[in-house]
Amino acid sequence: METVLDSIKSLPGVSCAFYYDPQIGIVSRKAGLTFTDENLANVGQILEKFFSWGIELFADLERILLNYDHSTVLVLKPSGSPYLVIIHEIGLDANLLNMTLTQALKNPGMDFSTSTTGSGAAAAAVGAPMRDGDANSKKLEKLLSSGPIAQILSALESSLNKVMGPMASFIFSDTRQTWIGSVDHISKASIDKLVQMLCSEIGDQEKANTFKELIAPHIASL
Amino acid sequence: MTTIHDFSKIVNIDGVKSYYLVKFDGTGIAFQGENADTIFPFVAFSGLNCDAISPLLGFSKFKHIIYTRKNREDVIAFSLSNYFLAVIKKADAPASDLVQSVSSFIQAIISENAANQSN
Repeated sequence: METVLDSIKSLPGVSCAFYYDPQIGIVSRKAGLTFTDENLANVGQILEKFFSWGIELFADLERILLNYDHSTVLVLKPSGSPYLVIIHEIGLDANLLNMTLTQALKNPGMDFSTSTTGSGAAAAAVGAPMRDGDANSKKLEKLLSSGPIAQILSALESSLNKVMGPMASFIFSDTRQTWIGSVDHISKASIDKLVQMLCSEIGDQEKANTFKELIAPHIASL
Repeated sequence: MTTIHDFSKIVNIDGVKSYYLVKFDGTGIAFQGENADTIFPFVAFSGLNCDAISPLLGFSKFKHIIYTRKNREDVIAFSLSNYFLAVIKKADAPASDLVQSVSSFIQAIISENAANQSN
């Protein structure tokens, strides 16, 4: 899943790509900070309604393209996986995007298995039998996609961006997935664990301290 | 003044198989094609939600939405003030050409209407 998103996001003009599952919310994403998890989840929810109503009327529906003044939103439902949403500039070469999609989705099973973490959501998406750990990860993903925990995670990502710059969103996304696979439930201790993992990724003690100062007000209420 | 008759001329555009003109509340205004009762609310729902998505993503104006189908008879819906105009394209017509033609058609109607009002 991560591999597919990486391939798409690397295209010039693509500003965001994410997988959306109606039961889980955002399963995986590659996007800049301008796109919050909450907004993308809302967009995913609306687009899923488009798609499901559209397929009721037109059984052979393949994809949906929403065109705005400067941007386009593409929605498709690859076989056996969640909805894939791609946001890109009008100028993006449609043939290049199509070829990249075809190549990336050619072997979705392999793509899902190469996802480093978040195996619960990925396995569920390809219809694999769900293990206990997978079910737990799925439950956690749902919990993390909305409410106060989602706000805390958003604050963590935003603060990380301030100390790490452009690579922050990638590092946060990967660390978050690893963290989800390593915790049973959400608590102050589990959030502290995520903070420690992110500090390790920062690598620089001074920057890590700055990061902790930035996030302190957001996690104080836990 | 713009009339329903003006919109019905859309079927004269090359590549248009059928059309549906619907008010923002889902009320059908005019059509030529099949399943209008089910397509009217769907087109209004799509159009309204495209407008709703726009601020969530920091986008400006919604232009059109394309439902791509395997049989190539794509559904294309355009925003038109308080109305939405949807066309189903003929399978052999290029979608990009049809988008251009229908956009020009809509613009011509808007311009004509504005000119009539100023007279």
